[in-house]
Amino acid sequence: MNCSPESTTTSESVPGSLSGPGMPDLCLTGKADLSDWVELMEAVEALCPVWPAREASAGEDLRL
Amino acid sequence: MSRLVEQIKQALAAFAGIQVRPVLIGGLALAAHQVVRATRDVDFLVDADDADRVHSMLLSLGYECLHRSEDAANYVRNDEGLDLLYAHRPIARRLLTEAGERPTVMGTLRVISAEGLIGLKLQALVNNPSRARDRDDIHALLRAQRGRLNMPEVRGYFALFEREEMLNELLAGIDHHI
Repeated sequence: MNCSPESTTTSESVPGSLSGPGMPDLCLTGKADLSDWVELMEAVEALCPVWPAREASAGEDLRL
Repeated sequence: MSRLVEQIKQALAAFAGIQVRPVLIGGLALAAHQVVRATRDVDFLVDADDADRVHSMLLSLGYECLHRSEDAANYVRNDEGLDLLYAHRPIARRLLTEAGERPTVMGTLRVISAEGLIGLKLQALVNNPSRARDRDDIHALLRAQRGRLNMPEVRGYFALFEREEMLNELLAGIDHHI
């Protein structure tokens, strides 16, 4: 199932187009208290109740 | 309420129960720095010295450990994931110590600085250059936090990974669109 709908955001406040596996192509300027992320994810979960498999991060070169 | 929120709240309560204070990193930390995008990634930075206790705590919550090294660990519980980055190098330890507390809809959370988040995103991008999302996240952070970032610190991360030219390109792109 493709859970990545086309972006419908057209506001000039949108700083950039962000995407990834299983992620809708959305990026908004937020209020920093995570409330807007919660609202967004409630919509995402309603649209995409089954999430794609996750990747493990073995073998990375970490310097920080 | 989002089941992601429920997952995070449960994890935070369990962290508190073992006296570990995690720092929010990853895509969700973006939202705390005014860059909001959809992500189900729940990522925390924790002190490497707490790794064993956190591991036991997550297993007790029903998570399965997919991978664990001295640097990082990945846990899953059904389709819920939770990733850990262990702070044991000086920079990560500093970022852990300096992380500020923020009021959020999930309670007070320690969140990595915007500069530190840029550094971690850069580290992820260097390890997997095909992840264009990390480059986009860095771009969005640079733009959203423009004028408020400690740029010497940011430049230091790009120098550490020998990607100074990438930073110049990103900044030039931001300046061009303003």
